[in-house]
Amino acid sequence: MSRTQTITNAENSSLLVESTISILSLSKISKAFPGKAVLKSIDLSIEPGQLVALVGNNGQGKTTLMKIILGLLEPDEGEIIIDGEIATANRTITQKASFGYLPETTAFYPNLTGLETLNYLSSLKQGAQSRVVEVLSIVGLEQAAKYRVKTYSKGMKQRLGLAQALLGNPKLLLLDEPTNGLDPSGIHEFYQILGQLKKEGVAILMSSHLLAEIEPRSDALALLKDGIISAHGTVDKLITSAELPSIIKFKKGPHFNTDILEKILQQHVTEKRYLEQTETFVLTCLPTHKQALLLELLTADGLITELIVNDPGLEELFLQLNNGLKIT
Amino acid sequence: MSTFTILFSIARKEFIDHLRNGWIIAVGLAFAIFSLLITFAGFGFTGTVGIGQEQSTLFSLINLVIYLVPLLGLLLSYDGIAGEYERGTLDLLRSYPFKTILLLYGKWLGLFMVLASTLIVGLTAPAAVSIYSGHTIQAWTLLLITSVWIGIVFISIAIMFSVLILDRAKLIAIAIGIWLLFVVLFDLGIIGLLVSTEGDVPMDLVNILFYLNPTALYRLLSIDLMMDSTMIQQLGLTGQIPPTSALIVAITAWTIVPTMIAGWRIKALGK
Repeated sequence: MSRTQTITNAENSSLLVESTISILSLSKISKAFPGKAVLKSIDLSIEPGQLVALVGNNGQGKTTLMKIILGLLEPDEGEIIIDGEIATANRTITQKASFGYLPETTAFYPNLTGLETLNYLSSLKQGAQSRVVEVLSIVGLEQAAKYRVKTYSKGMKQRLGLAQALLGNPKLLLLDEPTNGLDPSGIHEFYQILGQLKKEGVAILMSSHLLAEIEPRSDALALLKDGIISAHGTVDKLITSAELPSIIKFKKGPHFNTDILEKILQQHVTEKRYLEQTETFVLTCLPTHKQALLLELLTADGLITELIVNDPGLEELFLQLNNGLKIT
Repeated sequence: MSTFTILFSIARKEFIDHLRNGWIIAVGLAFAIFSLLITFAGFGFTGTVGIGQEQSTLFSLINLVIYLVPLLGLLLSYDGIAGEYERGTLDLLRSYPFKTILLLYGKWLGLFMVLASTLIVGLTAPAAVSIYSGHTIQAWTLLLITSVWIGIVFISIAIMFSVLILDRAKLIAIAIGIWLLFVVLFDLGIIGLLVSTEGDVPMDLVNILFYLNPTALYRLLSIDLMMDSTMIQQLGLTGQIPPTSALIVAITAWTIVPTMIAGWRIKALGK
């Protein structure tokens, strides 16, 4: 599968990912509600087996974008292509059947059992009836399925929500804040399920605030801010493009020499501090200098010890982008 | 997947969901107790004014239906769509591969089944007592059909508001308001009009006003279909009841128009 990625300037509203095989492709999608433009010319593509994380602060349009993709809201402008067919205004039953959707909060029907709920929902999805037992097993609700939903915890309702999203073999899963209410082991199991689905070629678009959770698991990230996708690409590429500094810490080695250290730091370091209490140097270093700096520090025999490198993560990137950082 | 499969799945879920909601059974039993009391009272209230036992019982039951069934229909249905919206399942179901209008019709069908079951439970005991006492089943069948029908009218009205408002807190107030308007205030308004004008109101105007209230139409239709001429005379309605066909058309319109408005609105969601 070939894929070309172009990262454009954030001021030009979005980063475009063009793909030869896309299950979903959005082009110049805009949506305004009275008095507020929520989405402005959004471009986004998702390929089979890809997990794209949609991140952004509250009120930035994540749920609106998901609803437009699902056909629950009509965009004011732009084009939606699902599996190669235009689906901007009206959805065919087949196009609808290619989605699985987990809303942010779903209470379901308190008087029905988990099994009855899935049997009911599966009867409304083409070819889904045979998968009820299977999806219950996938989300680990086999034992709880016989109890009424009103007895379920929030995490169990989320699992039930994921189970219904999996009914009918969807090609694209749209998950709105899916791990809300899940405990740590539930979150782990949840991502294991998503990992398996990705291997089966299911594309996943997931909105979340939990950056530490998304960072190691997403293939690409789209940051929504002020109605535009201000950054889009793999986490690594975005961090590299953002040129966020790394933090490097170390202590004096057995052959420490101030002059040698100063000479090295002058060439590579933007900021330097010495913490007397812990006898630790703390350096701030741009990614373009990091490799050379580490090489020189480590090859200077006995100059330093206990080296720790803290590279910037998604959370740092998110904060910087929210503070107006532009990625070129 | 056929349209009917989806329709009946939604209706079946609605029926089970409400059946497990205890107060529906309680309402059915309460209706049965009231109906039985009226039936026995009707038997005790015979002869002296020339009205037959069955006629007096049925007339009392028609009035009981006017008070209870619209309220039952409204309370059953006011959160039909708004409840789905607040639970988060409306958007979910709208994303499913079927036409959203089927959700509305499926709800309607399911609520009809709940209401019909409740009324069957409520009317079976008094009907059995009456039929056991030698009266015909025909009038009781008509009472059941017309009672379910007036319930359906109020289900349609409640569903229409449920789609339009999508807020359960407002809708419960609206449901009570509609019941008060049609069941209590409307009659008081007509009486007030007649008293204030000392009866100098054209009968045509009063008839037109009746068409604005489905419970008034139901009362007239039930009397027309179930009461004999003696009873109609006792009620002072000889020559005053509009043609049966006009009443049926008007009640049908009260059923269809709100459902059409609800259908238009639910299809327009998100546009």
